[in-house]
Amino acid sequence: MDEYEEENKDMCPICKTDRYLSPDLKFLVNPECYHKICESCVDRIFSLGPAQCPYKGCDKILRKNKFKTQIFDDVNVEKEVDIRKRVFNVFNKTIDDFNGDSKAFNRYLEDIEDMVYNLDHGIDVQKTEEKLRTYEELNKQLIQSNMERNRKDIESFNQQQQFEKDIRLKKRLLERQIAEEERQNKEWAKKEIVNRLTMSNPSIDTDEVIDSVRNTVKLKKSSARRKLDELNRIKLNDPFFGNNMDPHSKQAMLKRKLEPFTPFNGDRDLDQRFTVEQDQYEDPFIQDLETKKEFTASGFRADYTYERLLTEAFMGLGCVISEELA
Amino acid sequence: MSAEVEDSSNILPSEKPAVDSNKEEKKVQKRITDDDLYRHSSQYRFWSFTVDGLKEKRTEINENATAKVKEALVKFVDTKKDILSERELQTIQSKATPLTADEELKLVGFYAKKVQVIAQHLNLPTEVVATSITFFKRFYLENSVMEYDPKDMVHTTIFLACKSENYFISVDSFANKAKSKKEEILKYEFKLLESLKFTLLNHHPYKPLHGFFLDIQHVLHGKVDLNYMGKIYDKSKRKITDALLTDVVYHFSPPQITLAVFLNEDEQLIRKYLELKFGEQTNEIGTTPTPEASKEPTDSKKPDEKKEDKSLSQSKINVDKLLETIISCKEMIESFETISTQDAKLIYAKNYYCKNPNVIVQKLKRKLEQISQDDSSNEPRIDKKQST
Amino acid sequence: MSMEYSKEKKVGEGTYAVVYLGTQHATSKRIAVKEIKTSEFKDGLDMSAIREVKYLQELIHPNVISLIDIFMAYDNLNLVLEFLPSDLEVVIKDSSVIFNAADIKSWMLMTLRGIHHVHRNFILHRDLKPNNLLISPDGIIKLADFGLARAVPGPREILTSNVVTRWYRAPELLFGAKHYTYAVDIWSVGVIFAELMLRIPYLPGKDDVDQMEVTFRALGTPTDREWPDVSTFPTYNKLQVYPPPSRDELRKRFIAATENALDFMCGMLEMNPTKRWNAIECLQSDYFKELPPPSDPADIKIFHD
Repeated sequence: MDEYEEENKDMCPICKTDRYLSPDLKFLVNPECYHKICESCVDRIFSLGPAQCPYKGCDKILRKNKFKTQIFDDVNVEKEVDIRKRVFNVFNKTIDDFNGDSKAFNRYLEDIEDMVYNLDHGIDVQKTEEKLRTYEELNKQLIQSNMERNRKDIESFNQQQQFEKDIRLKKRLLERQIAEEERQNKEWAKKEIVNRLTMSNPSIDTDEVIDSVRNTVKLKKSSARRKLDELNRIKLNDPFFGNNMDPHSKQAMLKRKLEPFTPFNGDRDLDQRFTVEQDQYEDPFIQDLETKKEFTASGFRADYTYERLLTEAFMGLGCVISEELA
Repeated sequence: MSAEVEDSSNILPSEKPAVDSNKEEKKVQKRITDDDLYRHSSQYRFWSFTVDGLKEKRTEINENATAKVKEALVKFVDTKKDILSERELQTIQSKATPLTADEELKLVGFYAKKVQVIAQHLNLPTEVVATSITFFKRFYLENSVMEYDPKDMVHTTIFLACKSENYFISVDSFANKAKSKKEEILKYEFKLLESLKFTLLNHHPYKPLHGFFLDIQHVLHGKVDLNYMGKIYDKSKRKITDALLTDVVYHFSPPQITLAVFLNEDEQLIRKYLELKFGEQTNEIGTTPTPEASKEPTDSKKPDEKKEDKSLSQSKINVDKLLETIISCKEMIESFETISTQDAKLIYAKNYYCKNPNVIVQKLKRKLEQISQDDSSNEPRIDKKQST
Repeated sequence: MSMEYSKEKKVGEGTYAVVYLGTQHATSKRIAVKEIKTSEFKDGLDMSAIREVKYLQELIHPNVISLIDIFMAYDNLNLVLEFLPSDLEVVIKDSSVIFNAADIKSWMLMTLRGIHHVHRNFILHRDLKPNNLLISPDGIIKLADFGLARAVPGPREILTSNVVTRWYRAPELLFGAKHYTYAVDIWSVGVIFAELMLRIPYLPGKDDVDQMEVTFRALGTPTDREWPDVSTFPTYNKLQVYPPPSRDELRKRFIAATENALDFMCGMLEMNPTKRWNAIECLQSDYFKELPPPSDPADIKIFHD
């Protein structure tokens, strides 16, 4: 590996294409051996199926679909990151899973570090792999739900980013609007002062006129400024912006995030005994109403009517009073 | 049924701890099915009884009233001991006997029918008629005819039913139409509301009837003649009003009463419908979850929990058990008998004498004075109010 | 007079009732007693009283005011209700109270859960406004005042369109509709939502005619295209035709609202009642799923210490 590495960081060691000459050159690595090969070589060598790594002395059999873009310059870092990712995908508990017991959580993390180190340095590889596999088998459900949680965390992080971005954009717009308004106000004030001074009798106090006009301008607190204040207020007390939140509510929020959101809180029959099959009903009465403008324009909906009637037909059908009240 | 619902059956809407502020409560928050919705209704909580429970209630009302009537009679005899002859005392004792619970029930049934006839005569919508009947009958579950003359309550119940069902008629025009007096209509309105335990909302079987009319079209799609269905629907609607006069309203839920009435019209059709709807093989017709249900992953529980939930689910209907229920409902409707006007008059007269023993005395005097007698013509007429 | 409760302080007087604060002796709990002046009505029990009693007896839900007891005293009807010290109108008007997007979401969630339960029982409230959304000591919103409520009508019944306090009145009511639905309640919630974000009334019409003007200026004049047959309403004429607001205009007006919050609001403020979101659609809206999550009601600081 090193032999090639030292040669040229920007040259494909297989076809010797140089990045300076072809700027589109893209290197790929395969986690089996992390030997870097350019994209067109990968296409050429592995398109027909698995083949041996073209590096001298490397006997790994590689598959095309396992190649990936190298993110880190140093393949060793790349390798470690990959291992880390793989292990963390399986051992994906958070401190919440330990009910906040940081000691236990730290032990867990150390365990993971050991495994990563072992895999990275080729120590006890088989044993470690075995450990990983067994754990995965045994904790399938937990892993899955933790994965879901992480996904949600990322999602909400993105959402938050977007929200902040929106707010920033809105603020910039408002600030621009305010600047423009202020400029106009200043102009207006200037004109107004000149106007008043020329119109009025000479005995008037010049300073008084200027003060009065300035006051009027001050009172003209623009709607843009009010809105900006509003936005600033949000930023200050919105739990979205976790940084200035007190630790108590932050914890409460984290806890609540783990509970699934239940819009109806149980107040809904998820197992109703009927479905509304509107096109199968011959109901001259209701069908007639559907053609009446005073009904349709008022918001009359045949499906609501059917649903109500059907609900009442089955509401209490299962209540056997002689038993329930006995 | 869970303990939670049982608990709420004898209290008013309780001050349940607020759900969101209380994490513990949140976890045990129960799913409220449509059946539970019915269990929350005042009709279920206050006006549903077992057969024994209802009998007990009537006996108690009757016993209390009987005791009062007897007390009043004793008092009457006591104060007039000196002026009453032996024969007069004997006649009082034989004629002024308090009504039995059964006699009371028959008299209430007779007048409930009258409520129906009058309300229909006033051209009131079906639901208002039904509510009138219901209010009238419930009033006499709490009071005895020996204390409140059923004649006095007929118009009051119809008037309150109109208001409760959003069919407002001013008391003046109501009195005018019903050929009654404003004061008489309003006199016991508070007493009525109090006796109804301030519950006014009724679930009548007419909407379930319409609902089943629709659902049968779906379940037996293409297998049922719509003209025929329309006829069954109309007949059943009338029969439901008759069923409201019976005790089934206390022992069965509106859908059960509806199916019982349906069963009476076309047993084969209803059996087939229920078999297809709730039978084992064709379960999917009846119990497929609604599309909305699947749209709501956040409100459902973990997969395995849900499965367990479903097997225990109260939504599931056992056809045999349901049939058993509605057949007994049907039989109860069929066994209901209304008494003749003549019999009603006799009971009414007895009740009247109890409350007005001096009428017996006066009558006896007149009878002795005039040798030409015709007892029955002197008896109080049932449709005309007599007061002393 | 019932010995179980005491009335201590008169806190309000309406057209048909007086409200007192009191105590339930058995539990030492604070309660409110709504005394209905029944003797003043020539037609016997007043319709509002009948409606209030009728529907409160049936509704058992954390977000609907609970009726503890009813009793008669001196020919007056007394409703014993749970004690609810504040309401959304007070909160909106109190400039010393600061509330944020998560708090608004929490209030909307509780309000809609209450309304969903009311609608699930086939009842229309018909008078939703901030003033009728009461708040318990632990911050829970409770729907109150069922004096205008009624059961969802059978198809033949004709309804009065003279319901709902003016500013919260749906367009079909402004047009005099006689066969309206649940949608009128949802419109009111939409207006309340807007008001919570703006902290001033959103559609404050000065009178019934002005209400149309204000409503359509803000949200566009409905036409037959998006609301079939709207022009057949007798009052649909001589209307100033305003275009519906663009998304950008709404963004500017509701500066702090997220896209989902705007969708949520527009769903409730949809002109055509058949297209307006129902309570289920509202509760399933992405607005409730996105961040921030609704505040814990107990954490919203609306009471002064």
